[in-house]
Amino acid sequence: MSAAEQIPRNSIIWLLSAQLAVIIPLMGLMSWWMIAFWLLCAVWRVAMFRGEASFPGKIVRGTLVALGGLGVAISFSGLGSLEIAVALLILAFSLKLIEVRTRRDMYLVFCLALFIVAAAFLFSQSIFLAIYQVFSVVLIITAMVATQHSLYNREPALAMRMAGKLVAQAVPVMILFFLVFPRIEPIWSVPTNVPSAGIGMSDNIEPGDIAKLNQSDELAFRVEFDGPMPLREDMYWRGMTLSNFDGRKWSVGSYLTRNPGSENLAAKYELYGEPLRYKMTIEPTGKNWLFMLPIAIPIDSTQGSTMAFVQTEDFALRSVMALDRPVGIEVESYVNYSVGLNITEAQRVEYTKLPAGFNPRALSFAADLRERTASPQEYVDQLSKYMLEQDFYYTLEPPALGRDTVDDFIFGTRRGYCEHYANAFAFLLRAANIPARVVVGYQGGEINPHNMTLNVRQLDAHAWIEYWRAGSGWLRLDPTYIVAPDRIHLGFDGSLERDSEFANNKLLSPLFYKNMGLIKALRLRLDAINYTWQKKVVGFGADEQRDVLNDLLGGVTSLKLGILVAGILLIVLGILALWILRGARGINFSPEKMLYLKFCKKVSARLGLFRTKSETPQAFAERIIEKYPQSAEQIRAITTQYNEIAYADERSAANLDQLKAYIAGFQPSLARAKL
Amino acid sequence: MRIPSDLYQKRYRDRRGRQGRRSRFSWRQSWRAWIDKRLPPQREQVLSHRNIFIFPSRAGLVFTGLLIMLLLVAINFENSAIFALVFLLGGLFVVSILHTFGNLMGLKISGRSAEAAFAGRQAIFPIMLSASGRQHFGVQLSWQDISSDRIDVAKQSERSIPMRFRTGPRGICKPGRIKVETSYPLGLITAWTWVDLAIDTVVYPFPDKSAGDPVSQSAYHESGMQERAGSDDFFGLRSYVVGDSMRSVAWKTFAKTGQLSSKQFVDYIDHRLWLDWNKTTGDDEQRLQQLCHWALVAEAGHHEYGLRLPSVNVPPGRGMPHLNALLSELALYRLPLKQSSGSYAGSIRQAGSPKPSVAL
Repeated sequence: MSAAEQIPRNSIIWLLSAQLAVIIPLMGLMSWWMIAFWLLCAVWRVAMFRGEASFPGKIVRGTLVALGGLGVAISFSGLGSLEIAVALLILAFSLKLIEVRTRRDMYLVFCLALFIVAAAFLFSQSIFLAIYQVFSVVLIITAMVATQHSLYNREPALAMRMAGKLVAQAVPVMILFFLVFPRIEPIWSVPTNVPSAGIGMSDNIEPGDIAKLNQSDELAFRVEFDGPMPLREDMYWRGMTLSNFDGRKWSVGSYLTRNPGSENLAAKYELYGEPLRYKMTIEPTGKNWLFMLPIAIPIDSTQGSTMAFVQTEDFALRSVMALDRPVGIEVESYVNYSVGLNITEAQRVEYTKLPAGFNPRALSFAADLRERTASPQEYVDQLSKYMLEQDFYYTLEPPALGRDTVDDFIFGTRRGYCEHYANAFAFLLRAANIPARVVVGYQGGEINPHNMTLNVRQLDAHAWIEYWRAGSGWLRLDPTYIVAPDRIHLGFDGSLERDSEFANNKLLSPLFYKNMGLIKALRLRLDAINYTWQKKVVGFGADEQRDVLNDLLGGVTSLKLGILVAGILLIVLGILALWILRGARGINFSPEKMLYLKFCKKVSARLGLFRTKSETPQAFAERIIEKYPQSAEQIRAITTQYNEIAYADERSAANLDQLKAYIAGFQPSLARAKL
Repeated sequence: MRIPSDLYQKRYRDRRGRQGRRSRFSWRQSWRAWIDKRLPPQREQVLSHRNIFIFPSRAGLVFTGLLIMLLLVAINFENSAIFALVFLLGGLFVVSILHTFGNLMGLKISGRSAEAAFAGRQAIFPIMLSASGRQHFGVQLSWQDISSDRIDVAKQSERSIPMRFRTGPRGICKPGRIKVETSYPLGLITAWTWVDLAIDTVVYPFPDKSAGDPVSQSAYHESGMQERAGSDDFFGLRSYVVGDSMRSVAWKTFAKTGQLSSKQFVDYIDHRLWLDWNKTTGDDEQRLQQLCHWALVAEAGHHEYGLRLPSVNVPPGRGMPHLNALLSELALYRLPLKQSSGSYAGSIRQAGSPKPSVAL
């Protein structure tokens, strides 16, 4: 290897920092041993650099590759192909570290690093990651710059300054292309990054499921209202209805397999009043359910080619495609409605069906109560009253229930969470032959005062019921509201703040800290910023692009666009060229030389005498004086002063000022000379 | 002067060396003609847009491939952040064109002729890089298959890089165009130029060790010794001649024989060695190589030596300047001189070696 191809030390140091930086965001995805693997390679590289280790042989490298591959196969089995691809990338990236010998080899590592930076964006596109990755890119670029320095460069900061400058200069080009580059349809379908199981609502629930969901701080969706926000207690984000009960689990009914046309459905509901209009940005769930205020109707304009919806028989909205990336939709919700005024016999059977042999005490309790009440509505009221009067408690950590969940709950523990109440209530209604179903979705949400958006998180997950009444159709009933109205009024966080026991247990959980004043304010502020980012940047697709360009150009034509792009590019690059190349031309003269040249210019302009290239100032002075003796004194003074400064060991400011004054005072003119 | 022994084992390269290929590629010739016209030879050249070429480097092409891949990922995943990353990296690529160009622009390159070298060995040309208004990083010089390290030149400063050049056959060696290149700052773009600094050096014939010792080969011309009246060594007696110093009278002999005799003293100003073309064997080149070897041996000894070639005589002398002058005659023997300077000695002086020596 020639000296010219050796990798400078600074470059290795920067490369190691850059590698660490690009791995950190993927830390959660990787296993601990991969970090150790990288660390091993990094330590090896440093040892090689210090001459304490040599390049690994073929056998060592082969073994490492095999071990890494095996590790990935074991650790990542069952995970998506995307995760495996990224894991393999990181492995290659670590291994390459102990293989690079020449400057040219380094570029493969740089490219891998940049690819991993991009890969992290497949898992999150938040503004915080984006800012962080700019920093990662600067580090990678720094390593690249350091590679190009002389081997003996001992100023590592120099490379970083250059890298920062380069990235800053590249930003205008980036913005321009981001705005105008056509957003075309995906060329082929790709494995999508579906959030891992456990996050988001599933298609069936049993007691305890939603409590698990409520531990998560993760965002489910954001809502931006086009007008005043409805009251929190009215915000029931309705997802799916569960009509199948197998004794323990409530699951989605058979209506999904039937596929009613929406025109049929429209006849089955009546909507009153002005709708609420709002825009939702839904985080990917990997499922098709949408959570809306009922009855929601998507606005046509937002039904882009990529999003299509189906209204199900229970008036919920389903996306045709699974939600595997953040989507934005605009909907109108009619909160005053009556639906399902008439139900078929088949439906009545379905919504009152109970499995045999479960909850005998509850069944007899229901039969008893139904006998004592005159109408189904009275039965419901009596049941609510019963719940309110008996000592039912709302708690996140209810005791476990046995086989007969309703029996155990109603006559035993009496401590439960929303799904316990929904489960019991729906069961008791069905037991009295009243059509009922469990509804899952979210309740309330957190209002961010900075941008007036509503953030609905997994911890807002909720379950309630709907029952059918002749003449009114399906009605919402939230048993939790009866037992713990705070849960609805104040939201999940608010109700927990009072539950000191719960808070104490969770002293170390982020849920606890997220409610402390300053932190909460900061969190909301950051959240608002991130939302704007998500909306404006991450959500920048073909439609947004068209709108922006329309605003800018007043109608997009390819000619206008071409001129705009070429023009901006020329201006940007022109400015950059002037900036970058400015030092390249001309010579930097010393200040006294600059002053002297000014003097020479004066002489040439006014007296018509030019100093030749080889002429010393002294000789030039004599030549001028010969022709224009009247200025002799001034010219001699200037020349002497200049020589004094030029040949002095130290340049003094006073001397320079003196020279400046002399030259300023030197005002020869041909007219005077001729006199 | 030190001549490494391995030097003797090597023969200088085939004379055809650089000339042989010339006829094969006519485009090469026209390229040469074009570039000679565009970048004429000059001792000192300042790089500007006129003489800088620029193109993506191999790493740059790999990087472009990466950008295309990332763009496909961005399109397929409809991922705005990756789109932004691709455009940022693309912007970096574009910006780095300007930086790379600027890194070479304004750099002044000048060369000095090298000290003489033996045929086939390396001559060292000092190449000066001087910066004025800006710093230049990672500049690399190369010719033949020899490249310098990457050099950083600070603002208002000068760096001298000793560039080795493998010489061809004896005569005048012109290294021709030197490639000045840089990939700074990102290594994605390479800017370069080929400048002809109009530098040259003399290439002496490669010494032929088998020629042996010039003395034992009786290379002495005429009588190797010549006496002259002196005061050092007693030579003999002769009859007294009026005017002889009284101190030189051999009084002992006078006492014995009664005849006045003068003692004769002589100084030896001997060992005037003539390195003679006619004493060598073989073809012209072989003869020159033998003479070259003799000259080196003679310089190492205590003799004054001169050179006799069919067309040129160098009177005897000693010392490095003498040796260099003599070797230059050997180097240029019967070569057509196309140099503008004409005289060879002039060229050597231009080389300006402060202590004349043969660079090996």
